[in-house]
Amino acid sequence: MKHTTKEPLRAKALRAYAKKRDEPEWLQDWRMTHLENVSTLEWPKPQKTNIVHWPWDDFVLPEQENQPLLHEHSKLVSLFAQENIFVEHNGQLLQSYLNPYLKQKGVRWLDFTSACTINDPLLKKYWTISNQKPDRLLSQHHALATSGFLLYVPKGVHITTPLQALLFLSGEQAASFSRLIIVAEQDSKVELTTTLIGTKGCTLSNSLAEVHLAQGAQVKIATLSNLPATAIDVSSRCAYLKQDSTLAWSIINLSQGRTLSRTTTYLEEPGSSSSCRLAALGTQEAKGNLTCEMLHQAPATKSHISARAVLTKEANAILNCLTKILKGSSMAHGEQDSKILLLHPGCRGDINPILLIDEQDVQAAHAASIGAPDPSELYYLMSRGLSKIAAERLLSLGFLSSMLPTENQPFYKLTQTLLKKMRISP
Amino acid sequence: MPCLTIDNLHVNIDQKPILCGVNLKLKGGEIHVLMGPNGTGKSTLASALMGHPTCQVTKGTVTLNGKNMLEMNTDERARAGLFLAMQYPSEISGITNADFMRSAYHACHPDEKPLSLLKFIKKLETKMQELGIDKSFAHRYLNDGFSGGEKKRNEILQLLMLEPQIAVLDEVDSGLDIDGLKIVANNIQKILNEDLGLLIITHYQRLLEYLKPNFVHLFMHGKIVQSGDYRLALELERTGYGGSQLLTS
Repeated sequence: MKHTTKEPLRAKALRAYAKKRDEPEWLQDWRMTHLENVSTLEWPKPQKTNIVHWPWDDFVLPEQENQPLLHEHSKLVSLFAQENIFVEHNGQLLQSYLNPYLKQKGVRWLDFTSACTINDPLLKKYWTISNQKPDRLLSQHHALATSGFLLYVPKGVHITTPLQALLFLSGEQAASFSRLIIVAEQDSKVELTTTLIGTKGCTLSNSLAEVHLAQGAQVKIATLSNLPATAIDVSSRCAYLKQDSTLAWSIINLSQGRTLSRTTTYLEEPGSSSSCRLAALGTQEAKGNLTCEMLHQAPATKSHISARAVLTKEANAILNCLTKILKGSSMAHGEQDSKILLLHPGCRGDINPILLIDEQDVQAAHAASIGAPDPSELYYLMSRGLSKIAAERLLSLGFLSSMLPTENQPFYKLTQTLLKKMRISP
Repeated sequence: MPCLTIDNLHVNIDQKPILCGVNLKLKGGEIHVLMGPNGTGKSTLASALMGHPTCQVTKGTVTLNGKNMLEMNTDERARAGLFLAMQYPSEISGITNADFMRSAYHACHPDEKPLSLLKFIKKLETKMQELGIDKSFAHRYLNDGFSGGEKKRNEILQLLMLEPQIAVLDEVDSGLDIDGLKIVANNIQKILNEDLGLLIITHYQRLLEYLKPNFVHLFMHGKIVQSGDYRLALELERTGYGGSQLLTS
């Protein structure tokens, strides 16, 4: 069944869809409220990117039957240890395994359907507290979110093995609306990776990740998205940090269609700190608008944004880096550096480094550069026999790889595998 | 046996003449040493041989085994068998030494069956062991955060891996400690055979305590002004370039 965001009759269909999934009443009502907003609210207005004419209506809601993974996707799953793993295909859970020891400790890692079925109180609590400014796309997500997970790490629990979530999309007009909720209680520690991979023909992913860090929590999150040229990849990420908590983002965008990515970190309480490393690769006619925001709302908060993009052919990318230090955030420290590597005269890159400071006694800095590969680096590689194309490819891989979390080997290997497959060429 | 022939080479950088008629013939199995004061064009000669984009050849020829090197791009020269251990190697974050060297190895040995990752790592580790380099070196980013000595060892490691026919070593002894110098020199001596010719650019005689040169050339004002054997290096060490200048005049 084809759904469009403009069809008024879709409310009925959506209600039926939610009922069929045995969703609790509050969630069904939530969907209905947001469905109305889809047609009434404004489109988001990312800088220098007009998204209004993107084909937002071209998707099919995920079916409820499990479909087997494609062979190429199964091979990627096998890169990971089969512990602490979560695999979804077209919004349906295929595999989920959390170490029993962690379960005993109170860790919960529930897929969306299971959380709905048991009407987990945490789901309702964290589902509905989003404080992002509503817009048409966020409402579309709220109305249609049908996959993803809830991760809850209790007070003082340290998870030493990374949790790995793999979400796959395949088929004509396949779409995904996944919601990831991560709650790290006081002094807990966790590392999570999420990977979204789609095959040719899939058309939309509109995902939302929300991360809640209590006092002293330490969280690392690495996300990778690799959707084909046919797809729109919308991802919103929001994190809320309490006192002395630490969050490290690694965001890798390898989607080759249209991308709208926004990552906002609220440093709400003193001593909280966050870093965000962003890597993007655009080939052919890829278009990307990627935003990373650090909002300092308390004293002695720290942030660092590092963004890198490599563009080839006719690709276009805009990196928006915003560090905002609000009144009362004395001794805050915010830095950002962004670079775009252009490999072809037809590609275009923009960087908007913005520092907004409303407090004295703070430190803030930004650096940005856009350009072709460094001639001395090219010369060095070529002096070892690499052709110019091979040298530029290696430099591009290196340029992006410096943003990857190398300590998580399976995730690093997966990213490298995808990067090498993409045949970067000037 | 490889043979590099430089004939009346003139090179400008930014329209300024730097090399003014260099002549040199270097054969496999030979070690030539180029000595001379700072700023006389020794490194420019090395860069010009490798095809650095800033070096404009205005006159002269360079051939390797009869092939005109000046018509080739930098990568083609490397694949033809020329190697330059650079004085200031680039630092490139994000590319591991192992990945880089594997790509370079396969680029320089296109006719060989590609080595499997395992075999390549084994070969690399053997060479690293010979050079007294820690295993972790392979997984570090290319020259990124390396000390001066580590960079020089890395250049020699590449030399050992890529097995060129003619290698130019541009001040490979600067930055190396006494032990490092000895190890590097011994390894170079070990691989020296009639299939490899060396042109060593240096300011100091100490490297030559381990590597006995066949020829020593004094390089001044953009060209070779005097050639001799090992005794010339000893003489230069004793008198300095000023004293030798008197000799040439």
